[in-house]
Amino acid sequence: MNEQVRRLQEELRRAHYVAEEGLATVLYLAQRLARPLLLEGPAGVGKTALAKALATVRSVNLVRLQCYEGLDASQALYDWDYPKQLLMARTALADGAVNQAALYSEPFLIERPLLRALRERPAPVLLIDEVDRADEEFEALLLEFLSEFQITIPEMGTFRADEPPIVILTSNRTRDLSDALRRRCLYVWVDYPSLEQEADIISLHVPEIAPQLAKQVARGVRRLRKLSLLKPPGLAESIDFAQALTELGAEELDEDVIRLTLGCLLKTQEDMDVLREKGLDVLWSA
Amino acid sequence: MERLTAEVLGRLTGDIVKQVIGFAPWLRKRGFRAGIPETLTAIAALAELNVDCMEEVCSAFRAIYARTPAEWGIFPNLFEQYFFGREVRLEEKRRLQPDELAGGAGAGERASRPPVDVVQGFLAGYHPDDGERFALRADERVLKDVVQLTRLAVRRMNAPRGRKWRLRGKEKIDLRQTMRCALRRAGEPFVLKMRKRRPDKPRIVLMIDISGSMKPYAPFITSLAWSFTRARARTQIFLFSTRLLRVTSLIARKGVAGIPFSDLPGLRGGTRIGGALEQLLRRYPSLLHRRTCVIIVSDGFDAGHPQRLHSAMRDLASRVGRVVWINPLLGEPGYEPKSTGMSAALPYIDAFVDVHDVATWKKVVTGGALRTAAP
Repeated sequence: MNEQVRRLQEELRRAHYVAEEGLATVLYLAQRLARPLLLEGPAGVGKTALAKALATVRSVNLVRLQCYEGLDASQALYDWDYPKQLLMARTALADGAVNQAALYSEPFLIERPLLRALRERPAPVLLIDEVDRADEEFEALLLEFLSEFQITIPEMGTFRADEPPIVILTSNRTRDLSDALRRRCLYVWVDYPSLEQEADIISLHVPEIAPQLAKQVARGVRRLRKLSLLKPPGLAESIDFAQALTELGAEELDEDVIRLTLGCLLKTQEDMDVLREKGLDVLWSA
Repeated sequence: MERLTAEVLGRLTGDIVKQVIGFAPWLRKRGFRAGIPETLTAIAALAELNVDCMEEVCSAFRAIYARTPAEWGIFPNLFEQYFFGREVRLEEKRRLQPDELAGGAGAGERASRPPVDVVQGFLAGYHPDDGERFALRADERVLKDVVQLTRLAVRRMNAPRGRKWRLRGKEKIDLRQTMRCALRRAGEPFVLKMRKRRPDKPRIVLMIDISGSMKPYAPFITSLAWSFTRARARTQIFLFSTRLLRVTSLIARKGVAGIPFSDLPGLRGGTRIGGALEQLLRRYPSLLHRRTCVIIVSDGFDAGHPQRLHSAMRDLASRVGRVVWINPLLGEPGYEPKSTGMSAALPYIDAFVDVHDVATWKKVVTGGALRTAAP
């Protein structure tokens, strides 16, 4: 393995993120080639956590843009401070004519996450979270940013990053992203981890847990994911569950403990009914 | 686009570069949309990696060339085939021939013919779609009318303005508009512009049955599906037979030009509506909520267990705002929805309509069958 990739893997682990070799390689390349990284996968597999861990590793800020329906340029790129502009215009009127160029200048500019990520030093990690929730129009808005790392403000000109930020986009695939967006990014499908990896992640986040119990939890959660659940438990749920078991002093999984802590794993009544129907022993039986 | 420097290229041998250059066209034949930008990125990536460690190279190339989970899944296999020389055995389709041609008279002529796979005994397989180029293709003659009607339908589907929408002196000033307006009057905000709320785009999930029995209606239904991608709505389109496949971008891009069979893997023969609905509920729960209108286009002939369809329809109806079932057979004289599938689904359907051409679609749209319930 490439020495730098191995070092990145170790540093991520110190930041409480277990990245397999493939993911670490792509992450290394994303930094070296200055390409955005698009992470797709089921909810709760650690897509957002990767951006946080990377920001910790690089000791830089994490700038987060949480996407939602109706997100537009004034929320994502920049906006003008209109009350301040109006005040300025009124004052200027008293003195004579209004200087329009002065009204659209730096003091009146409000930076939103994308512009902030371009101008911040040292270059931060920019997380564009759940980009599939935003509208298609917003995707088009991102294209200039993702390919050139620049933003054009008509009144002021083009801002270009001297040092491009590390951009991580995440998507849960509630809708297909456009080809134009995909081809500007390196792509990684992040799936649920293997049994050993999941046990490793649980032990890393809950150091007090016994290795045997961590493996039992990982195995049980994997079985739950195979059931037809509305919201299959992700890694965050596994860690919460392990944490709850440790707090309750449980040494192994049994019916009583699971009944008390089921809310850590399953988040809907329908899913709980499905599990009760199958039997709680799905989680620990051989 | 990646810009390669002489330094980057200097680290790689000409043979490696040549192999990587040939990889994108090779992948394109297998359905990948790889081009020159991907090749340049791959070469730049190679310069950063240890070329001796092929696993590392595979991981990097996977991130560069794959763009969907399906491509992500098959990439390592393709990478191995290309770079380790394990070529695909069945590269092109070969025509099946009956056994009369296998021997006896005419054997001498056969030597000059192109090689074909010879099947002994009987025709090994036949499918009614064999020889057809496209699985789905919109009927171009009706597109204009269908798009107009669909836009009208979508406009009518907008949720009506409820109590909260009425102006009660709580409207907010739109400072951006006010400021722009003020600049025309020397910065004096004479006119206060108020913020206007645009009604939400309706959410539509369109599920289309593409089993053999629906084949006569496929061109019109494809036009209908395509028209939804051109309307102001958040539409997701799925095809189903025995499994479910999301095809929103495929229909939007290729619906009119034609979608070949190769783009729809595993969607041939049989209908299991219950199973497809279960997959929809399990895999795409975030698409289904109170304001979603689910439109199922199917004749209701179901090969699955009726109980499965019944429970899937019950779950679906409880989660979404409206379920509309389009059955093209409904207009046929003497047809009654008595098939097991239809009987299981009927109690959970809000509107059961016949749409198989422009006239019937117009009737449904103007009749208000697609209008969603007020939230």
